[in-house]
Amino acid sequence: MRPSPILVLSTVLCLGACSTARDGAREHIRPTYDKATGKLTELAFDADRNGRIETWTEMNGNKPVRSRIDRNEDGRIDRWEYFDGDGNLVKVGFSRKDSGTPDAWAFAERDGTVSRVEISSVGDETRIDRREYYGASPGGSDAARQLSRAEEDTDRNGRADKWETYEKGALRTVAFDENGDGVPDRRLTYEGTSLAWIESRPDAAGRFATRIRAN
Amino acid sequence: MRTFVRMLLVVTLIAGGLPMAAAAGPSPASTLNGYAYTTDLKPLPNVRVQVRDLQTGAMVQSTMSGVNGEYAFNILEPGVYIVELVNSEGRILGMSAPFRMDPGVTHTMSVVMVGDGAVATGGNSGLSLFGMGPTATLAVLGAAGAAGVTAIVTTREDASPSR
Repeated sequence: MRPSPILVLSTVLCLGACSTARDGAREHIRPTYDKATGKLTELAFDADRNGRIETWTEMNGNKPVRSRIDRNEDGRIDRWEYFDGDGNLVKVGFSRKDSGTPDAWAFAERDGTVSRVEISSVGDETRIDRREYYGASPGGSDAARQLSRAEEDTDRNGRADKWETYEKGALRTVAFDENGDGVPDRRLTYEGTSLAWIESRPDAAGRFATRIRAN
Repeated sequence: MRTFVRMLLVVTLIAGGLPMAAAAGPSPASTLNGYAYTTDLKPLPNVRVQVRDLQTGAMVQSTMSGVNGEYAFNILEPGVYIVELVNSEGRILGMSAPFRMDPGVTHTMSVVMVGDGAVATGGNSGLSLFGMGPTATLAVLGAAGAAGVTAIVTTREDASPSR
């Protein structure tokens, strides 16, 4: 009952296609295998069958690891799809500058809507300096999804020092950590398009002791 | 003698007063400059840029960004400020971190527009607020299956499960 030890076609992603259709499909997809282990390492795919590869999926055997997609076929990658060990989509990367290097990554809710975007000004997913959270706006009259809050590490020291909240898509409050202790020292509150309040001198619980009407 | 004493007094007052007058004069102006950028990091021209005093909340100076998104201010008073980008309806589009202006220094503080968030720039990637867009990897896996691509073409003897 032992499987043949050498040259075993052990795992097939999908079976059942007839040989003619399979041959046609093979023209548009190119697998790459690890020479030592025989494991599938990459699938290059010409999705629109125009003779040009625009999707490269790194594989760990039958599990996708990451895909790089040049959607507009301009020679620069514009979408990156990342998967966990079980093959579930974790996040999608994109380039704000359309430079071919990801500098922002979107994470989804269970329903597929975008819940969070992480931004790295240096294009390094381990050095995130702004996180934006999206959801139904608390002041919104409908279920429209909007930017609801954000936090930013403006001095790039690895710790957030600026916090923003939004209502109906407009900035409502922004708080700053000006002494580097990780908690807000001053908070500005906007009403409509005007700055209304400035609060400062937080106590140990984070409540602001001083509140002045902005000029 | 009386004239000499008067002159001496005048000279003394002038000489003594000069440093005081200099010290009490206006502080040398500080220069603030920078660039306004869109969410996709392109220059943002013709947007209102305003400098706000964080002690009072007062908007102390305002200008429009130039064709390359550039702006510059001469700030007279030392203090802590922020720079705001504002659209024609007065909505805040972006904001700097607080910064301290000291007399006679040149400070550079650029601001990236936040607008509706960075996801607004994800259109090229198929992203929107309402979804991550079509997952290309699924199409790749489907095509691989249709083409009969195998995940492993060989196994070595030492990879046998019985070993």
